[in-house]
Amino acid sequence: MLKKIALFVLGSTLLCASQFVLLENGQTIWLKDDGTYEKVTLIKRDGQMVALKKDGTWEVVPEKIVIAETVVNPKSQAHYKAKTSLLAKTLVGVWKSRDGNLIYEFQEDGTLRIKEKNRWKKTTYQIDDIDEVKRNIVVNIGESERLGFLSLGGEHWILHIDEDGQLHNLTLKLKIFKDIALMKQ
Amino acid sequence: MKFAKLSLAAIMAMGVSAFADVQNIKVSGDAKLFYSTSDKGSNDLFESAGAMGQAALDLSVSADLAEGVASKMSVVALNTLGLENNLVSQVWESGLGNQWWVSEAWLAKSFGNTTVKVGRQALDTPFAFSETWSIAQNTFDAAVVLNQDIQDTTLVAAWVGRGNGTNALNDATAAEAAGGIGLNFAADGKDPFGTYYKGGAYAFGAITSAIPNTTFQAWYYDVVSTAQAWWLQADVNLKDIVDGVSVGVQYAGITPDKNLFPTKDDSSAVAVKVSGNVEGVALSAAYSTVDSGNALPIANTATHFNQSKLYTEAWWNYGHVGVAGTDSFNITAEYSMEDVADFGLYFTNADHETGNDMTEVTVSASKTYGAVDTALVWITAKDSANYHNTLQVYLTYNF
Repeated sequence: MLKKIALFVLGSTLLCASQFVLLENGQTIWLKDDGTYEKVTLIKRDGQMVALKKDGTWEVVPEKIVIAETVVNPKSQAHYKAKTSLLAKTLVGVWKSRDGNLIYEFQEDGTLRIKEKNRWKKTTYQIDDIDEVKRNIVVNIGESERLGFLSLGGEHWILHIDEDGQLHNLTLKLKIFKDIALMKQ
Repeated sequence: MKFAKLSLAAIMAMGVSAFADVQNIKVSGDAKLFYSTSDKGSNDLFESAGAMGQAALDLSVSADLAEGVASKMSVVALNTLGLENNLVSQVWESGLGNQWWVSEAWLAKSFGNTTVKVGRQALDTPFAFSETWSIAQNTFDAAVVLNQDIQDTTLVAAWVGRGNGTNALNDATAAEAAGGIGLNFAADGKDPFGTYYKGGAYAFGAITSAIPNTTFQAWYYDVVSTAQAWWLQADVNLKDIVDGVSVGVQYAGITPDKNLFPTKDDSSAVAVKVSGNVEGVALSAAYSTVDSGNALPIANTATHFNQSKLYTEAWWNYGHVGVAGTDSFNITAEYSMEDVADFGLYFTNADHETGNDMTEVTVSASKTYGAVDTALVWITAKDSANYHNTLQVYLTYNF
């Protein structure tokens, strides 16, 4: 792992002057000039991204932050995709069917509220995979545990966001044989 | 030894490689405990003679296989927990013995705008559907093709070969004698799935939202050598006229096969519904009327006409609103109080041309505690001379 980071530091130094790197697990690190690295906390201040360092200082993070390209494992890869994919970012928000009978509310903190048959249900979600070409997102709903490649509890939804910006739950379509289009509110 | 190690490594590598094509593996399920007690007839509430109870375990595995094939397999197991020895005298699914069966086992694949789903599966169509009121739903051995080449429209073609509702009794007379309640032979160690009536069924449907603010669906069924049926439904959102108000219209009919049902008439039904939202309370009022005569009910063929998709269907006492010569109405009020509970109030009256009318009032409260869904239901109904009460408790642990 350290070797990968060292190589990455070298590559980053040669290719880009930026000192900040976004790892696939969503963590941002600061690559120091002395060859060491440090995890930093990002905050937003006056529309700018600011990195809080352990020594109590802070620094504005450049807009074009370098994104690590090595793949640690499928889960971190999905996490990375979820953090960086525009399609995934589009998912966050409130989606409502034309008749208002079906509502999905994807919140940034991983909470999903579902309104179906006049009832609200609260659960969790996380993005497990994204196919940018097909515009499909595999969303893991209500997972209670994960054992390696096995996801326990809840269900997987395959969501499709079409070019018109409408959301289609392909998993639901397979169940009820109706394609319900949801519009972002 | 080295060779053995290499072989083992090769096998493992092959295994990993083969498994790499399988993605999004999900293992889930639920454990249910349902209890119902009724003071119908000479029974008292909580007396075993008028009570039923059963436990169920559902276990499902779903995964996306190679080449974009989706798959799911579910097994359901039922057990009385010995409740019949003291607390209850009936079960939700017939048979006291331990029973289990594969309730779902299907593969689905999309080709462009067309999706094919083949295998044992739940169905949700007006005249052939899985009823979810019981502790285990009925499912079907079927093949379904969905096509969306026409914008805002889904075309459906389905073939149903077998099912485990009352249709498993492919002798219609025997099915009729069973009274429309789902039968299940798994308790006797037999295969609960049987031929869908005489020779399966074909269904064709079109669901479109091409008309602004309207969802329209049309279905045609040919239950081989048993009956032909059709179903038209339009649900219109009146948001351009009255915000939050919707209206729905259903028109359905069934024509029995004269060889199988020589004395049965054709039958049709019309239903209308108005629904809206007042101060967070979802309200709806519905009315339906079914032709008079000696006809088959407008209801689910899969369970020999038990539950109906007519807007007026009761919360608990199925087998009434779709019966020939019946005028029914239903009023529903549902309120979801977030972080407290979901409440429901349902009133149904079915006025039969012959026989006793049915009136039912149901009050329900349901709440989720972590992974446990709970529901408490009180039903007061009259389908003969006297009113009777039923109390039901539903506990479902999701895992």
